[in-house]
Amino acid sequence: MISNEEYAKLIHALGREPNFAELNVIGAMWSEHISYKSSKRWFSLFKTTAPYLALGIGEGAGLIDIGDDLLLGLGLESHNHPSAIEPFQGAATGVGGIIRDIISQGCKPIALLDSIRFGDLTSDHSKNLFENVVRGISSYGNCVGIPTVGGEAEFDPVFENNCLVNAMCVGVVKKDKVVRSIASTPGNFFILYGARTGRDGIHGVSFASKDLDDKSESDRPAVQIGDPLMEKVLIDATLELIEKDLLSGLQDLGGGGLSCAISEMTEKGNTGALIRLEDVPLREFDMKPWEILISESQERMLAVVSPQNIDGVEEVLKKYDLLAYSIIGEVTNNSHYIAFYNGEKIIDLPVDLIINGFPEPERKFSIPDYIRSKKEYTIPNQGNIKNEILKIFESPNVGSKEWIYEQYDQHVQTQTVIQAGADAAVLRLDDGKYIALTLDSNSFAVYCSPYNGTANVAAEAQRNIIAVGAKPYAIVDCLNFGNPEKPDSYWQFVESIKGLGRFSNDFKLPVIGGNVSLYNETVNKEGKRERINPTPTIGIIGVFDSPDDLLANNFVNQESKIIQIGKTGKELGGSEYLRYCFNCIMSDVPTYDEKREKKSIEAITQLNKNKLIESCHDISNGGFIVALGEMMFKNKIGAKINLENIPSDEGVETRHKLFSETSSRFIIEVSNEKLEQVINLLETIGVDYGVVGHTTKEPILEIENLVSIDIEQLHSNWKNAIVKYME
Amino acid sequence: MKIGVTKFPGTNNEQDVLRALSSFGIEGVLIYEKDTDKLKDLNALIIAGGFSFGDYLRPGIIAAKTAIMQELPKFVEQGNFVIGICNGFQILCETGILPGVLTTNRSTKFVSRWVYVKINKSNSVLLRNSENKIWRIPIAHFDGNYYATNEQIAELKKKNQIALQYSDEEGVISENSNPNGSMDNIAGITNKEGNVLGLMPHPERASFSYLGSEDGRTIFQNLIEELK
Repeated sequence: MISNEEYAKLIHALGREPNFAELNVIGAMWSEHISYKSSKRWFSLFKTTAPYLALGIGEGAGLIDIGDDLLLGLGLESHNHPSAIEPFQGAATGVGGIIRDIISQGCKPIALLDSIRFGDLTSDHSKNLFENVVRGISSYGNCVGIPTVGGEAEFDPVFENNCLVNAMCVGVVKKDKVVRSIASTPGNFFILYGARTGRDGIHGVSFASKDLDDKSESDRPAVQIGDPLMEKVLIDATLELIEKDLLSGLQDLGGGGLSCAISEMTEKGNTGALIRLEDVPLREFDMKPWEILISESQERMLAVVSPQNIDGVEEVLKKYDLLAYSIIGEVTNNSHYIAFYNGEKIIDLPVDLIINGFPEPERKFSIPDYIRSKKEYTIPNQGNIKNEILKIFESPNVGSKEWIYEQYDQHVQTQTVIQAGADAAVLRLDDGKYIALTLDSNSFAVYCSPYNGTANVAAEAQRNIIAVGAKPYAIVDCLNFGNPEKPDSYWQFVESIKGLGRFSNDFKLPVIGGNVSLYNETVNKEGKRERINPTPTIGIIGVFDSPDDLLANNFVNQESKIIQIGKTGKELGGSEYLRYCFNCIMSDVPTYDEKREKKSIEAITQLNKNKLIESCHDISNGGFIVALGEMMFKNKIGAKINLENIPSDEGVETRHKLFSETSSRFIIEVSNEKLEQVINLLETIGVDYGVVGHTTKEPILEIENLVSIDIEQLHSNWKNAIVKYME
Repeated sequence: MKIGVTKFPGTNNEQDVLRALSSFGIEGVLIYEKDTDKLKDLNALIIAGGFSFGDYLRPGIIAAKTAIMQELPKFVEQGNFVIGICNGFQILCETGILPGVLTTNRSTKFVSRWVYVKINKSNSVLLRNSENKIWRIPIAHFDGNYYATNEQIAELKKKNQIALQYSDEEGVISENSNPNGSMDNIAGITNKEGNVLGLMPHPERASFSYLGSEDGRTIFQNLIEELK
């Protein structure tokens, strides 16, 4: 739905009233979801350049050059509103969409990661959404033969009526096979291929650009329906078209359907388009021309093909039985998007007006009340610490996510070296190169301080890459926020972007793609406004200098030394400990500290290069104690810890040492013989560290003068954290 | 030596099988559903896993009705080797070349997991020298729950056709080590003659040290040696 201001601007620009079809095209293209009208103005804060960058923000996927003529493509997208209404199809088509974004640049998709958020698992509604979203991702991703190797999940009542589903896809392409989403040569043809066009997904982007409410159920037809078999055939055929150099341009049909694909491709190419809508292969014969223009039916691609390659393209499409293809029009030089239906002109709009013509809406921001009135929470220091430790391992946000990722095929394509469950997934590419992938967020820390929280989420993602032994290369982000027309929601968004911008510049890591999902607000049955926690999900891709750098994330030897790298702060705000044990999150939140972060990373990287580390794990959600537990589980190796030796800021008490989620920290395992060398190196670097204990043969976690817990008990709580609600 | 690897619409493991073969210096040949004329040149056919025809209707059933699969009984009768992996095993059961069916996992969920399987004394030369070995190997399926009549199971046992069973690390076969509800923990079986092997675990995904296991190489190695 376009605003009065937008309507006035449209009439002024056209010099006439738009017709109904034109209004629908503009409505889709000027929607928040496609136009980024509330968010784009801030993207200049991101670092967007790097010597190895091959394609930045703006098309389906960003591309980076990792040497040997190989490029990696990355994309990350949300499918929140559809998943809240129809979880199975919403999640499945979210996965399908991001895969097509990746193949649009010529990449072969090689991995998927998913970030998902739901209400508390004690709620039947949330359990149902969770179960079906996972099933949707599993059903689609497994069928198309792309391994799902990582991701994350979070549960909290704020996501009860507005779950979040973000999907990331990674692909690989030889340098000379890259395809662009561009229509640059007049006279070339548009070929639409894949599935037929139906009525599903009409007004999908408009649905995604408003708050959910009690009438959202009636938007169910706006949710698209997935056909993974068609997607798999589409991938196979498209990769062959690319291999044979038959395409001049390629874009998938996602949000906004044909309206979006054609106007974006012609805008990039400074061209126009003449389209014949009667030539679009339909699933429902009686579709109106405007419906054809904005349908978001899935599994469709739009190729730009030069006249001499038409025969070649047809041959490949026939080989794959993709018979519902059609030459629907041609690229022109008059910079208008013109569509006819059986000789009748349906739309005639300047391409530049469609893409750039919207009036930039005024957006106000102001500090939300909850931040303004923030008080520090004092933790009761007399509780039973053993119970608190056991309890935090039971939290679904901390516990094992095996219930989720066992439903995803993680090994297809036979490249998976480290599967989901580690700090980052590791893949071995065909030419022997190793890459690392991670997707992270922490909505609680971001809620407490959008700026620090976001920078620290990015820092955590980076530490995950470092902790497996790789070097970070690039960032993709998906910004899930509330209604930008509300000043307090918009403040969260702006602060968060500033945080990511700061991080990306500090570490010279380019943001190469992503997505913005706003209007994640709902009105509950009592008419009360519910807003999700602000959630920037951040994916980072890393590359290994050498496969020898690969690091384990779990203890491998008994009687090794355990060292904490980085200092623990007096910061429990946003921590899982406060949230899960005391049902409160507002307190002092970990500040983002560029210098400390850099020192810690340098320490791990140097130690690893010198082969001085047995294993390494980053400290994040749940704090030191959770990181320690996770290192013990796999090989059932125990640990004896003296908290006195944890490097700490002033005023830090026992519970901070155990549960604080201060950034820039790692736990490493070091053999006794190498301890001296390690300490020398750490002193030279000047990083905060402490030898906090050693691993033990007995499968027991012992914290001196405090507590002793059987690993089996801890592990059982951790392992069943999600399962116990689902089975 | 010519080894074919099937590629139906939707098949997604064919490249993985080709990669495993090529590590032995063998270039496999992709065989599409209409390639019936190519069968006569092949010495063996591997029916690769992964959602032929999207598993629509039920896994394997549409592929089983294709031209190439209709010719398969003859190819088998001639004594050629056929290996069906995961969806390939489902297809072989749907064609009737192997007895029994693969129904939905007991959990009613897809299961992707590293498991252990015990290799039995069987009539298949493809598992030669592996008797009583325990392999570590991945599974990934929604419908891997093997079911057959009591008579069929008795017959399979009598003829040493139960080639692989889900077990624990020590080779103990029990309900605890059964990932999908299969009768008798059956993970793979052979035909009476021993030249057809169907299995749910993926040997091609356990064929390189960097993947965490090379146990699956045995099958490809034995096949290639047999064809030399």
